[in-house]
Amino acid sequence: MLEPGATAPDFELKDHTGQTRRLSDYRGRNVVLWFYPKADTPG
Amino acid sequence: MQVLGASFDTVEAQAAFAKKFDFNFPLLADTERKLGLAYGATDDPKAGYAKRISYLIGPDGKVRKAYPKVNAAAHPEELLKDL
Repeated sequence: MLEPGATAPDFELKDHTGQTRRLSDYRGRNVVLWFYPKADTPG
Repeated sequence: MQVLGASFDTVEAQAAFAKKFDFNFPLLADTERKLGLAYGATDDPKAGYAKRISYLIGPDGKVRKAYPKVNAAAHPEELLKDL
């Protein structure tokens, strides 16, 4: 894992709406990056 | 504060997950595991599942805190304490 003080690597990924998100979009704000094992399946 | 969720699922699976639980923050589809590898959520580019970890990233783009074991129920409180 990355240590506190390390530069968080930028990324460019699509979100659940298909919109592209970059970490650099959120410069100036606190960001919580939360990993989870698996999206739930519908129903 | 902005929350970004991430797993190795497709955009479609993330969309279903967001809809089911009414999540109001982006869920990133890291299907190539690039994000997971960069952030240590996996060591394996073919991993099926991301580890349950989380990061607090500051306004300067640097890691403020790393959470190697996230308990989903307790995490919001833990995060708010660290802000």
